[in-house]
Amino acid sequence: MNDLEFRRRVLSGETADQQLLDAAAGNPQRLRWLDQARQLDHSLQQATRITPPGDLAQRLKQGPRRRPFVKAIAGSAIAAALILAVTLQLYPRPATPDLPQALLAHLNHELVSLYADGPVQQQWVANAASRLGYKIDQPIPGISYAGACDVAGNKSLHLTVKTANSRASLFLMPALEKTAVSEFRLQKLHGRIIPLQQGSAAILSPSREDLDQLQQQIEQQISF
Amino acid sequence: MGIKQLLRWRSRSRFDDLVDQHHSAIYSYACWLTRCPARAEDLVQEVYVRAWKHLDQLEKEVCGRSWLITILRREHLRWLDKRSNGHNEMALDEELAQDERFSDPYCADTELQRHQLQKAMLRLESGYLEPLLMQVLGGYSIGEIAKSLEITESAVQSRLYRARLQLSQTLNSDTAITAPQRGVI
Repeated sequence: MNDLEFRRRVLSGETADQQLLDAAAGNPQRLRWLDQARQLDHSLQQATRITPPGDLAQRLKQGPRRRPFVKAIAGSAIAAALILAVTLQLYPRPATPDLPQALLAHLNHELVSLYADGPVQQQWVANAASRLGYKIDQPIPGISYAGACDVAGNKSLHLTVKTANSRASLFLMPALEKTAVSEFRLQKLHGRIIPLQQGSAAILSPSREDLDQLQQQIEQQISF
Repeated sequence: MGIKQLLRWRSRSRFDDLVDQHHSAIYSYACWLTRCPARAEDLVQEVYVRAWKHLDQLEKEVCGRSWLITILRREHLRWLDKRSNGHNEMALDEELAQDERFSDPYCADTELQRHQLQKAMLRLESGYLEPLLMQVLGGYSIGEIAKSLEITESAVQSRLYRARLQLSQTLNSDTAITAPQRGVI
């Protein structure tokens, strides 16, 4: 096996193949390539893993033995309401310590949101917004990503919107009450938090003009 | 305990094992396929519902992950087909109407290298990405990937090589393993 063939096989992931190991024995250069390929594989293992929601396994296990739909919904709704009421009584929700940092951290965790290219179904967005108590009166153009997320403990609808200048991230957070508009600058991003009739919205973008444009869209196209 | 109950209990136990051992990898695979965490979660649920229905078709537990990935790929293609035919909206809406789950699926660490690699993976062509996912997440051999994708082993090897080469160069151009000369592959 010559060096080129060796490198080709190493980079196709056959790093544990006995023939390759034999071919690398006593050859420092080949051993180095092998080591680099193993390091890359280790990084790939880390990078491809995306942590699932904590309760997904439990829900999957419950899935196939579902009770009849109405009973299940009614039972779950009552249980959820009780748990929520008790929890809210016992543990008042703390104010979000640093929302801009939390938003930025969320974007870093969900980098895919900035590169995804859709297409995103407007109907999905409308349904997700509706579950949070919002109504999208007119579709928001240019949505390239949509996700139902948890940002610093706040349920939110996370959208990425392609604008004329760049891509802006929009978060609708129904449980986060703010009384005044605030702006921030983090790394290379401009950000704005806008109080809504119900909860708040946050916009982040590399372009400050996007903040105005999206704020206008939120105020005109989303109702409660 | 009757025979029926015993069989059901055994099935339940097998199914729970499938969830415990593989749901994380299946969810990751779904995220990369759909590029949408919400859709990925729905897809994983569909996969496991289907797996439960056809659990008797899984002959060996050791094949569990590849069996689930096969279902996942099929369900994803079915969803893409429905969407391209304009039939998706209603079915998906019905599912979403029951969906009250909110969570951040990207709650892993924030190391720069990991991000760079993820970004680079998002830029890979799907023809390169999928064999890589099968190998890294699914533990498939080159022969198994070739069989699943219905291409030759040599083609799989070539795609895996090119994918890793691109990723390696993105990750660190200084230490990346250099490409063989043109015409070798």
